[in-house]
Amino acid sequence: MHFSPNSTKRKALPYVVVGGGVVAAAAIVGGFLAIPAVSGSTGAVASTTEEVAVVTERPALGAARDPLSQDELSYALHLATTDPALPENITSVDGSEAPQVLSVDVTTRDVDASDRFVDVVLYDYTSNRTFMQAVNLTAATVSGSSREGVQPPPSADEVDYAFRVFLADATASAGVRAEYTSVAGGELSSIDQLGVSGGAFSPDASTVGGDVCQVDRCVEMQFRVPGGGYLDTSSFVVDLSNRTVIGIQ
Amino acid sequence: MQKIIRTVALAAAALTVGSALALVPTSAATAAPPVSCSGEALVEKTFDNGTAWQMCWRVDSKKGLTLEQVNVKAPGEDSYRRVLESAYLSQLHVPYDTGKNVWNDITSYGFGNQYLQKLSSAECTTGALKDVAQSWTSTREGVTTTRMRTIPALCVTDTSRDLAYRSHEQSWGSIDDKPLFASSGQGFSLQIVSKVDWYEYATKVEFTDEGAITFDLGATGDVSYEDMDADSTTGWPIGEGQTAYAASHWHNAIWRLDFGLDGQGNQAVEQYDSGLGEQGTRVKLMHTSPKTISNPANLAPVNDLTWWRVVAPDSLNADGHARSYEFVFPGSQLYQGDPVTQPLLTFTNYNACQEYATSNLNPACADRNVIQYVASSADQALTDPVAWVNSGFHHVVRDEDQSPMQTHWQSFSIMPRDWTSQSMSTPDGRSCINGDPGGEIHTDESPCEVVGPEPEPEPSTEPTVEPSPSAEPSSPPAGGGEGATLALGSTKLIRGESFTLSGGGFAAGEDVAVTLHSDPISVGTLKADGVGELSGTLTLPATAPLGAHTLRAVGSDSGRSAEAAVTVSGASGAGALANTGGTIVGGSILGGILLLVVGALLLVKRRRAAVHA
Repeated sequence: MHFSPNSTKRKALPYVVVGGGVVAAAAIVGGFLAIPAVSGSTGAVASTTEEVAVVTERPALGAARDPLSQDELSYALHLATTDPALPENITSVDGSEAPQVLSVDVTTRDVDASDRFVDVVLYDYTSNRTFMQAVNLTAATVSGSSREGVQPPPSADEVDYAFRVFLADATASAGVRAEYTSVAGGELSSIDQLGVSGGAFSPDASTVGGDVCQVDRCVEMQFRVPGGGYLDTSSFVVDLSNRTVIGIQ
Repeated sequence: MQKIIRTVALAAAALTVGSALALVPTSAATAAPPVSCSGEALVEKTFDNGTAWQMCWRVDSKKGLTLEQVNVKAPGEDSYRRVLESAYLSQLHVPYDTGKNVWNDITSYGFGNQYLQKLSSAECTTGALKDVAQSWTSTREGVTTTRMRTIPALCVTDTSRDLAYRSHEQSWGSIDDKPLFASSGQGFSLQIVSKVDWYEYATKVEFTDEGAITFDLGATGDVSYEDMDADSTTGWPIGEGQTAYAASHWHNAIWRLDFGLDGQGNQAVEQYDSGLGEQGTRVKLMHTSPKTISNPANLAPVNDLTWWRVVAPDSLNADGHARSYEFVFPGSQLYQGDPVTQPLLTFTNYNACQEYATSNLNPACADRNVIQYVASSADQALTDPVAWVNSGFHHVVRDEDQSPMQTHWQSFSIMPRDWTSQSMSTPDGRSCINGDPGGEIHTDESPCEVVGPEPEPEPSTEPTVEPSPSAEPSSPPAGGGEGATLALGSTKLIRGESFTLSGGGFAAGEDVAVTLHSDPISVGTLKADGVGELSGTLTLPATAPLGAHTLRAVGSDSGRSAEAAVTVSGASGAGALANTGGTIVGGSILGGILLLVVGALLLVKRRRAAVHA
């Protein structure tokens, strides 16, 4: 992690934001998922990060509106991703044969329903469709719907992948890499060196370029040098469906 | 009036013996609404005044702070009543005035999961931090791995506000010889912070002991580093000189409020507008009238007097008024550059797949935004309203908004209207004031008591208390009348019905305006004759308030005035009686209960009179 070079300033503040900001994205380094500290504020304690065990049998269920336990989340993922209604040739962001998991949340629909419903949102990079798997944990059933052109926020996993696609494109990333070097010194070689936000990009009347993102899954990113400023990322998006960098205006 | 009440009391006493009363409660005793969460996920809070709230909270990966099954219990009620099925931020639409960027921070980034911020205790100094889970799922080479952790991310804080109310009984020349009713109010808020690119957003919802809910979005963090290339009309120069113009932009926070007022299947939306009407005695009248929003609609205010409420016509408070919640906007700026942000309010019927105001992410819905939701349901009757509330803010950046930007807040509230027959905070000493008290208020009693004018003597039943002489038009004319007089055919006036009056001592031939006080209501004008005498018939307005009042006649030229004490009653005696909030089987039993209630009150009063004697 990167810390503010100016430790004397901290004493003047009611509390300290270490690193001058927040590093929000998960980083996958060498295939291992490292979750950086989200906020450096003092006094708050996060739990340790635990790998969630695979759960294929219905665990003890919480009340319908409770947040998900680890076991519930894992069981919902199991039901959603093994649903036979999903396309057989479904692929994830790296092209491998598995659905891309975007989010897992207790549903906000029908709040007085007694059964425990979970929305598992998946993306299929083969068909470029978003699948919303409404999982009934109580009944162990899945009711799915899907649509092209619906682009939920990218998962941290996808942002990480998009960053790698971007960095691997020497031409497209030249400007950002040069700016990083001038601000922070050294070479930009990993997402772990930055605070990163990633958003779903859909073109609208105000954008020039990126029309392919009407259908493709595209990500726009903001980079912040911890302890420094933001880098200019306004001129490109990453098309994850094609694993290419697209210039936009 | 007093005679009637006394007679009623006797009849009620007779009826008490052996009466079998069948009271079938309606909304007063509906089953408590469900609340399907437990442990830390359930927030329950009871305030000092007896008002209680309960709800479930979660932090959704996209919607952020999500409140569900929001129920309120008014003081004295046995169970909770549903207010909202759910509430969350359904879009944060951020267009830049340079025309170069539009962000959708909820549907493109999300306010939860990796963008939810860990809060330090220094950010929640008087509140309690609650843990929220974050999860990361990654898939590489066909293998999916999920990791989870929890962070302290929700701050639940007790709040207070001075001057919730104040009412001081004060005598001339004294400041402390009568009761002072004053109180601070209580509340609590739930808040998270989410970081989306440059901005850090606080989502905060506050609940008060008077039943109100306030929805706040606070923006801090940094102004966009990518948007320093505006000009003098699309931005504001920050930093030295005129080199960097930070682009002005919008934070269009569109909240989604799913109403479930008192669990009613039938809810309606009303819009109220006010306009000046005909000339009154002093100023023009102003009329405020409702329009039912019968179908799903996108709504913008006609002017700054327009307001809306969601009402449950079949859920009546103890006064017989339909329970409702109205919207209160301290100011919302409406971005006209996109159809989705032109409405201040959009109302649709609940449709499960319509989850976001724009760029809807639920694939089960073909429609993507509020404009399309309305267009495809415009022929439906609006009975199950979801409100999409546009709380917009146009941010013209200041030098002071540089890092870290001072938090700017944008908010709106929903406030109960007729949820209870009086304020949820009404102190005992004011509890007897419901409508026109029609008499003297004894606030030293707890609960307080209204004592009407002393009754006429009734020799057969009331030997002990001798009333003071019956009311005379005794108070002297207020306006320097030189012997002007006023006499009425009857001092008991009935709304909408005519009455005769006569008088004298006015200037010859002048117009004499007749008004009902204390809130002046014009009754009419008569012309004095050649010797300043007055005689004629006027009609009491149907809107005259019930109870004891003063009728005043004022000469337009001479300024001479005369008064008479009157009592106003409704067109039919029963019409003014209160609905007790239940359905009572059988007309005669209804009458009996009313007799009982009135009789009981009168007995209490007599007992008290005896104590004082």
